[in-house]
Amino acid sequence: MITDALPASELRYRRLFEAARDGILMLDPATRRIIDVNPFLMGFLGYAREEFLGRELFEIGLLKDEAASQAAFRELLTNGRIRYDDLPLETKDGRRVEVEFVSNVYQEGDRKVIQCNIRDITARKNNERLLREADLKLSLHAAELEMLVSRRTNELRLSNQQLETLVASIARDLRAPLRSMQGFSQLLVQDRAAKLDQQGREYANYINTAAVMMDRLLNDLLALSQISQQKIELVPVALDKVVESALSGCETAIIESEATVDSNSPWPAVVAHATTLRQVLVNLIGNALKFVVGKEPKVRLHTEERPGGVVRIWVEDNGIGIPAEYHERIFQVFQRLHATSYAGTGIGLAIVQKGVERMSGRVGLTSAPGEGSRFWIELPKASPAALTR
Amino acid sequence: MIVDNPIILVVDDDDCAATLVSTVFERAGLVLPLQFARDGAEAIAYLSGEGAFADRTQYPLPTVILLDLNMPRKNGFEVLAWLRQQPRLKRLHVYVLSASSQPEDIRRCYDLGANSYLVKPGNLEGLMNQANCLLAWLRLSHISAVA
Repeated sequence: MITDALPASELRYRRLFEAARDGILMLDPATRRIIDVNPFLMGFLGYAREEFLGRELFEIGLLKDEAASQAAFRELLTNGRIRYDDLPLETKDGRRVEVEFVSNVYQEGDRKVIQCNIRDITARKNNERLLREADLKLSLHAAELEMLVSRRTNELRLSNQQLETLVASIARDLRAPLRSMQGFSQLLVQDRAAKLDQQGREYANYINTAAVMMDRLLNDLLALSQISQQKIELVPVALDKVVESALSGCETAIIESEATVDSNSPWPAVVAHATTLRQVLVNLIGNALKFVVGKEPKVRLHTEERPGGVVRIWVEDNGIGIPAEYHERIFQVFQRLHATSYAGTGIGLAIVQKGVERMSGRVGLTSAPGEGSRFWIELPKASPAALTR
Repeated sequence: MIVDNPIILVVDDDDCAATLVSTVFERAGLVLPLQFARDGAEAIAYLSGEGAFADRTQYPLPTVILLDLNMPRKNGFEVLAWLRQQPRLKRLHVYVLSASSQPEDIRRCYDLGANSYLVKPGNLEGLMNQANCLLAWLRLSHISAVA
C-alpha cells in the first residue's frame, strides 16, 4: 500500500497509521461507514480488514445501536469531536474489553473525514478494579479487626467486672467470721486474762492483731471494688470543701502521729466526683503520714495550675521516700515496699489510681529515698461560675 | 407496754457469732436467756410455733429479733418479707444485725420493714456498747404485744 508515488507527509502519516499501538478508524461523514482501519485495531478486535470496511460503528459493536450511532454523529458534526472515556466492547471471539474512544472531524482538502482513535484500557481498568477490590477488602478486614478488638475489650471488661463483684462478695462474706475471731480473742484477753499466763495472753493478742489487720484488708478491698463499680458523674467540685472533708477524715491519724499539715493554697474548682476525690485524698494523706521514721510527719497540700486547663493537686511528705524503680509498682494492688513496720494493706494507692482513672485524671509522683515523696493528681479545672449552679 | 426483761431471738447460722452475741448480752446484764434459730427457715418455724417450737414455755414469742442477713435455706430478707405478711407478727420488732454495711443491703432491709439496722462491730468494746444500748433502748420502748 505504501508506494513511492505518495508525498512524504502522506508517507509519514501512513507509517504512523500502520505502526500505531492504538486502534484507528477512518469514517466517511456522509455515510458514517468505515473507509479505513489500522492493523492494530484489526488485531485487537479480531476482525479482518474486509469485515470493517463499509460497516457502521454499531455493526462492530462500538456503539450500542443505530440510534446511538446517529446521535453520536450529530454530536460529532456539531462539536467537531466526541470522546468516551470508558466504552465496553466485545471482540469477535467474545472477549470483553474496555476502550477509550476519541473521534475528530478533519478537513482533508475539499472533503471531511472522521478519525476515531481507540485505546485499549482493559488492563488499566482491571488494575483499577483490583485496586478497588483490594481497598474494599482492606477496609473490611480493618472493620472486622476493629469489631474483634471491641468484642475482646468488652469480654475483658465483663470478666473484670465479674472479678470485682467476686472480690467484693468474698470480702463481705469473710467479714462475718472475722467478727467472731475479733470478739472472742478480745474476750479471752479481757475476761480470761487471769487464767492465762503471759504467753497465752500474747497469743490471744496476736490473734486479735491479725484479725484487725484482716478487717482493714477487707475494708480496703471493698473500698477498691466500690470505687471501681460505683456510678460516677463528673461535675464541678469545690476543692476546698473536699480537702477540708478529707483532712477531717484523717484527723485521728494526724493527731496520733503528731503531724503538721499545711494546706494553705488557692483551691480552684475541678471537674470530679466529690466522694471519689475525697477517698483519693484521704488515702494520699494517710500514705503521707504513714511512712515517716524518727520525726514528726509534715504533710503539705497545695495546687498548681498546669497548661491545658488542668489543676495538679500535690500531697507532699517528709517520709522515707520511694526509689524510682518502684514508682509504677506502688499503684498496683498488694504491692508493698515495706514489711510490717509500716501498717498498710497495699491497696491504698491502688484505690488512688482507680479513683483518679475513673475521674479521667492522672496520678504520679516524684520521690527519692530519704527525700520524702511528692504525690500529685491532675484533674480538669472547672470554672468557678459552674459551682454556683 | 414496757418490757423489763425482753426476750431476744437471735437468728444466725454462724454458731460462733451467735455464741458471741449471747456472751456479750450476758455481760451487759440480760436476764432471760437468748433464744436461737440457726437460719431463716428455722426462724419462721419458731415464730409460727411449728413442731417442737409449739411449746411456748420453752420457746416463747420474742420481744425483739436480732436477724442476720446471709444465711442458708431462707435468708434475712426472706424472713423480713414473711414477717410483714403475718397479721399476728407484723408489729414484731426486727433489728438486723449484719457484718454488711452495703448501702443496698441497708436500704432493702428498711424497705422490707426492719425496725433498725446494726452493723456488727469489729471489737469487743463496740459489741458491748451495742448490747448495752440495745437493752437500755428496749427497756425504754413501748412494745406492742404479739400473739
